[in-house]
Amino acid sequence: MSQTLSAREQILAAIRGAKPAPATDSTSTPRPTLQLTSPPDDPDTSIERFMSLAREEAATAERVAEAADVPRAVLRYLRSERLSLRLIIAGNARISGIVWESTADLDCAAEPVADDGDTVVTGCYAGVAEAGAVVTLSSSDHPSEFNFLAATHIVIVPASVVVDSFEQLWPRLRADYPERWPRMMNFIVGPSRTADLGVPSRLGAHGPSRVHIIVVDSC
Amino acid sequence: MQTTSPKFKALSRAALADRTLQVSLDGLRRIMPEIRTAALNEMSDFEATCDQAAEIRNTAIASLDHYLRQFERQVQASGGQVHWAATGEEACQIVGRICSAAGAKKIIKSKSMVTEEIELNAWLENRGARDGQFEVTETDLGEYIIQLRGEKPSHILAPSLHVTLEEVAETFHAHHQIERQQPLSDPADMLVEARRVLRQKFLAAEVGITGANFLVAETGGVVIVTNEGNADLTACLPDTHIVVTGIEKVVPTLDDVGVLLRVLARSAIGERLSNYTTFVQGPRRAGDSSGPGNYHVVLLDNGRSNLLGTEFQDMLRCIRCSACLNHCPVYTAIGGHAYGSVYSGPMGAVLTPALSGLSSATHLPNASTFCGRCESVCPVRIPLPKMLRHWREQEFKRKMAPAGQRVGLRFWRILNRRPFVYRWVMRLVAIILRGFSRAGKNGRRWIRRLPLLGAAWTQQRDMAAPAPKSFQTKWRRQGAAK
Repeated sequence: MSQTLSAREQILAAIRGAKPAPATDSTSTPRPTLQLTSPPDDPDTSIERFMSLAREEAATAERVAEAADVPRAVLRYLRSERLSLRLIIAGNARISGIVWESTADLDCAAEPVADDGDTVVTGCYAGVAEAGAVVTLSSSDHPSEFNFLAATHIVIVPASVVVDSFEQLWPRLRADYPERWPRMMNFIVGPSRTADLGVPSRLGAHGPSRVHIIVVDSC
Repeated sequence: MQTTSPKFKALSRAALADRTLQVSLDGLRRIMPEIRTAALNEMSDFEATCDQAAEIRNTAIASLDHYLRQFERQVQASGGQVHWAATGEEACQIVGRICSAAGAKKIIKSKSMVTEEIELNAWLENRGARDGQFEVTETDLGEYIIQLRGEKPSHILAPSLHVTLEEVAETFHAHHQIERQQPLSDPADMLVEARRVLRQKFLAAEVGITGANFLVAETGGVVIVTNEGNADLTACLPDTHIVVTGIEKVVPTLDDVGVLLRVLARSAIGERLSNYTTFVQGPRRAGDSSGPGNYHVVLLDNGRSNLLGTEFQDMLRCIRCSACLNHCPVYTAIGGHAYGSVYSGPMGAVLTPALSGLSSATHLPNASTFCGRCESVCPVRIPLPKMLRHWREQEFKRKMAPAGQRVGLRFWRILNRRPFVYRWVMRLVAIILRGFSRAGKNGRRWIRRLPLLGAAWTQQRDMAAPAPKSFQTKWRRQGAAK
């Protein structure tokens, strides 16, 4: 331990010795950030942009009016992709208004770990339009591996959580987590892919090969 | 860092003659500039974003100790541990101790250039295995392929760029111990097989090791970017997660990360954002059903702090996007292995002498035509040609350059300081060169063959003959006419 302690002092001393520069604490005085993306005219523009950019990255995306429509939308999607109707539903996908059991054909399991062939349904923290990215935070209601272990990931995105740019996301995050940051935050843009087996890149490297986004207008 | 950089010339010659390598490099040369341009044209303010990205990196580097200590406090507050390593050997020892303490046998890794730099895998498998064998498995597909083949990365982002699909199939056939008549031929099947084999490794591992793209001082977060999702599984599934990264990776705030992410994937792979961008803030929380119970961050110096306050400080801004490799006429001709260092291309030619000593890498700063494309595509505005020139100056001063080159440079200096003599010598040289030229394409005259020293040039390529009148002559005449 003493050795690593001395390494710490050694490195910090080397830095200070080379570069004496004034420092500002980045949490107490955030530096002004140039606003690079123009703010959206209306939320609808951001939502449409979010969905269209996600589609460009090989995700599929649809929009439904209310929470009650979600189970039917999921069933439609699973049938169109000829997938098993068995679902693993994360706690944060049990949004009020969604009655999963209302759709008789769906087999809703509460398995803790997703297997390679499974379909997982999760909620999310935000959607970022500029990148077509879904943002999830780890919690007991949404363990991070749910995003990666299954073959198909269905994400429910309430329209109200879609922001236009990163600049709009960070203040929300700081306001929601003033005490402690979530353990893991995942930005997900479409399915997993690799470019290591030639061009074009191939889907389904280690994570899901299908990502389906359902934007819910009111929920 | 072990290098074979002294063999640069021989390795380059072999690379130029390697047909299969040339096919891969040709693909890179044709595709990457095109997709990068398409991705950044989508943004109206890409160049302004690059200026901002460079400024963010400068801010972090100017107060590196402050931001590192802030980062350290935040990691500790989240229940993680921070370790400092002055050298690669120290970093390997720290990782080895953590793995031993965890009682680990099976270790999974996601691609990390820093762990390539310190040769962590070899250390763990050979020297770290005193009381039990550590089995280390790389999980980035490209890195996994070269690990099976016992090779070094030939590109900082696409480590197996030099390996053909047929070779991948043969490699899997030899290592996967799956009963079948012949190697797979469809890449889709290769992917399914690799996914299945590696999924078992993910589920069985006790320790996961990742690198980091950025460290966030504000949150204590470690940002890891992948397209495959392998870093995420590495950080989620094993009970111990170790991050090994360089001290220069820290940035002040989340806003800064947002700006850097905008330029990173666009410069690297022509995408808005990579498929997975993950922020890790410490170990499993009370109430979590999963996630690592132990979380460690190893901060490596290994020569980086020596660059502070020197003419090479700007190199610390590098975010390892690889745009300079993809646009370099030298890299795209010879590939990464010729450089003999895990860092190749223009960024490698600047960084390798800094990390492993100029004497073992004298050829690398000379492997540039100074065309300037690397600097023009760098998203954090690193003046790469200027820094290569600094290395060349040091080679000259420290008498490392070959005698012929040194004499030539001295002669050049004498000429340059005497404009009158320079003009007359140049006039004479132009006349001689034109004497060797023949009429050729585009109505210009070309030199196909030169004797003596000039042969070194004309053996490989033609040379355009000098114009009958020099620019200076024309300029003076034009000025007189006015």
